[in-house]
Amino acid sequence: MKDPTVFQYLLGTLIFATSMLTVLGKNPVMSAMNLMATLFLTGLMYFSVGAYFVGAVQILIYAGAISVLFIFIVMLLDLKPRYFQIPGRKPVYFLAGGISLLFFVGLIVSVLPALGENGILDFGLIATNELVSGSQTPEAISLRLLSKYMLPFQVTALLLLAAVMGVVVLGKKNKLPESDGGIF
Amino acid sequence: MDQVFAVENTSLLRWIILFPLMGAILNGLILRSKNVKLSGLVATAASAIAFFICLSLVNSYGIFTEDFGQVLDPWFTWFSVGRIHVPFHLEYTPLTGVMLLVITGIGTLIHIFATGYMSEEKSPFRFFSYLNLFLAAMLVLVLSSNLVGVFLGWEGVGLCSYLLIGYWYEDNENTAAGMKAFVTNRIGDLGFFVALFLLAAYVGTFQISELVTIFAGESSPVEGGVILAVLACIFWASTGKSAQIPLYVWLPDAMAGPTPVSALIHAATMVTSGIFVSVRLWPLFASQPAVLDWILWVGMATAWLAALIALSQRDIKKVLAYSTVSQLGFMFVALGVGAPVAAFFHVVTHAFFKALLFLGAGSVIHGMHHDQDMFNMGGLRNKMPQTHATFLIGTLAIIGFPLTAGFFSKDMILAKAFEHGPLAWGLLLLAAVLTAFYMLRAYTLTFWGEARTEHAKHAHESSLWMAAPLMLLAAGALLVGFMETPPILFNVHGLEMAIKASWYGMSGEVVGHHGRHLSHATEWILLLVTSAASLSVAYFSYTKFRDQKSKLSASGFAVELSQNKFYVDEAYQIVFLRPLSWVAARTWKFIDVYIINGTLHVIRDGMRIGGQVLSFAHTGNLQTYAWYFAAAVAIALVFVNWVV
Amino acid sequence: MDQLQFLTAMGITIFGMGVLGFLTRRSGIVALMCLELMLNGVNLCLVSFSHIHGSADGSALMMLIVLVAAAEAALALALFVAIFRQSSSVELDDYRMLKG
Repeated sequence: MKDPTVFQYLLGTLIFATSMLTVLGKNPVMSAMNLMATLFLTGLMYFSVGAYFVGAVQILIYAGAISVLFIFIVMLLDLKPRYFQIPGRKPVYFLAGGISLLFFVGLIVSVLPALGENGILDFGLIATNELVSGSQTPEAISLRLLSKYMLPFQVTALLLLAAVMGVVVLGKKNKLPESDGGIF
Repeated sequence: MDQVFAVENTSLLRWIILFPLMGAILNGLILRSKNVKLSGLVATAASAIAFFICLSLVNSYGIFTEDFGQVLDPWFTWFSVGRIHVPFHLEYTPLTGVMLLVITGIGTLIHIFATGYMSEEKSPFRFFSYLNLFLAAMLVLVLSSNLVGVFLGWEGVGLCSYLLIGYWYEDNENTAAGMKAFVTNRIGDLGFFVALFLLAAYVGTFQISELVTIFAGESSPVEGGVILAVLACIFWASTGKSAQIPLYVWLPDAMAGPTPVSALIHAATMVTSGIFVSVRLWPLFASQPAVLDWILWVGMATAWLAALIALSQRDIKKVLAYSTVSQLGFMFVALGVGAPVAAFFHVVTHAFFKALLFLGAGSVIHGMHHDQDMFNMGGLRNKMPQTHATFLIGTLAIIGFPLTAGFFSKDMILAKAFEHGPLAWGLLLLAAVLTAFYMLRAYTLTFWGEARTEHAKHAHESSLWMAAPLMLLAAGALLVGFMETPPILFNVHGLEMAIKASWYGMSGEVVGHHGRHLSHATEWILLLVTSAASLSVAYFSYTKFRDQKSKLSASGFAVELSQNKFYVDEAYQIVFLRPLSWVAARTWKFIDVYIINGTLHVIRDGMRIGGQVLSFAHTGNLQTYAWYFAAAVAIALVFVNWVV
Repeated sequence: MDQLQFLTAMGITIFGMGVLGFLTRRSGIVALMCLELMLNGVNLCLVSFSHIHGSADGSALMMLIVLVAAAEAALALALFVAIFRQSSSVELDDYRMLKG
């Protein structure tokens, strides 16, 4: 197996930094911008292993569409910056950090050795950095989607339809007179 | 022993049950008509159709026949648990055929009578629905091929009896009588239950044919003691349903129900079911003579006690009720002396003349505007000629006037008792003489002498609806005795053949029973003595009460005792009911209030407190739930990586 | 450390960041962003497995996840807009209707 390249290390560092800023940034706009950067860099990571089509989809849909939607909504609602830490709630954040760390360490410890040489997940199939010819091409993925995953693919169409209708209904102005105090 | 019978299958039998059942459903659940004519028509039609099916059955399979196989209606499997297999199969035997004709035939007549009798009812559909349901349950009892099915019918007729006694439920006394009947019957039914459990535990079959052919006699694969216990339990159950000492007390009170009910259920059919079941199982009884002795003396005591009480009753229906108890005692005596044919013969004849007497009494009560006190009647023979004539026939039949139905059956019982021993015969003869006395007393007080009240003066004859069944039943009371006559007179043995053909080839001879066969001369003497004694006492009774003009008054210790029914009810009250209610009240306070309620309260409080504690975790904040989730996954990860 | 391990570690890192943010951030919209981060971490793992195994299954699955994520983001954001109209707040702490 091949070691990660320098470029990949660089990407990893950047992804770590931007995702950290997404989580910790006090301004929602900044969070959204960093989210966009994280998604974009993940797309580049796909390119670096040769999954070009997937990378393109990632950048177009995730980084392009979804992040922009976030930024748009944040700006629309004009959210004020909130401090990450509120006095008196410190233990909560430490606890949250602890749990997340446990998550991280637990997953790393349980998954990575299994993926290494002679690990239970090392099937010995492909041990090269190079893309197995044709495995990540648009053609191969489309064939999968339209044959083996036909039913889930069709169901996503229904899901999207439902989402469109839901968004339209939610976005409509409420014609009824405002009740006092709102719904909450 | 296990003879192979020709088994014929038919699906006709189930319709005998289904038609009355459909009638009950149609009347009680669908039509709910307030029109007595419509309800009565539906119920009568259902009953009549069942009667005609029975006729066609009897026609095709025979009834007074010697060689008989088995006619089965394999309907469905009721349940099957482990080695206990209970099919819901119906079975026709000649014995069943006789009983079916009696039930559906007399039942149909009583339905017709009831259509006239219940003409002033507000909700007749309820009455007719119960009546049809009763018929269905009784037919299940009679037709079922196994004892579990018999028990189903047994309980069903008990239920219908309860419903019909309490039919006029606005009256407290009636509901009390209904409950008394129900509870007393339950005590008896416990015996049936025990018998069924014993069979399930030790014998493993409920099929009557198997019980009778395999388990009777010395070659029985189970111990005789088990069979004896089963039979004792069935007899215990019979004392409840067939009103014997000590459980007879419900039957006189059951007269609170409408008179057609008294005629159908509490005289003709249901109360004889104990005897019917015993006759069906006769080879078993015959193989255990010990139980027969108990039956004999319980029956004898009942026949006497009820006859003594009947001597002084004023209510016409009460007299008939006690006479029913007394006649049932006769039937058990017949069983006890080892004469099932005589017992069942008396069941059949009694069904006719007692139904006739009850319906006649009903007609009188109807004419008297629901006054049942005989001392208020008198002189009704001119005002109600049809009722009078038919009631007279019924009276003559029950006292055993020569050549009526009761004459043959009662004579047969007495002859069999004489074969058994002179003591049983003498006691039974005296009981029969008492019967003659109180029946003539009732008849004379009602129909002779002067009218003693205004109601009696203005009594009117009942409509044709009520008179027609009376006449048919009177014909039956005169003629039905000719199906079985003594050797000295006509020598007909139809019923004996029918019953013996229903025992699956078993002889039904009582083990160790060496009955002397009576010579013709002895038979003649017995016959003449019986008739002479009954008729002379009857004549004495007639002359004593014929000219009764004013209100009667009775005095003396014996009369008091008889009028108050020997204080049996009061004694039961003191001996059983009061201690039971005392215990029940204590048990309720201790077990119900403290233990059961207390436990429930503890559980309830625990739940409530636990819920309150746990509801703190339920903050309503989305992130809290995410916290729980993440913490749980983290714990699972730690567990997987470092603990295991 | 080879490439597969590196990519998986990156996926886990992004996922862990998402968890941290979802547990701590009180703004509903930021919590939603953290959700997207978690999905993204999973996607990275899927694609790298798919790539190493030389089959397109994982990538096809990733496509479906992207679809679901897009639908979810659109709907959730619409919901927040509707909620914001009612109560002028998207703070998760302000919604406690489910409190027992």
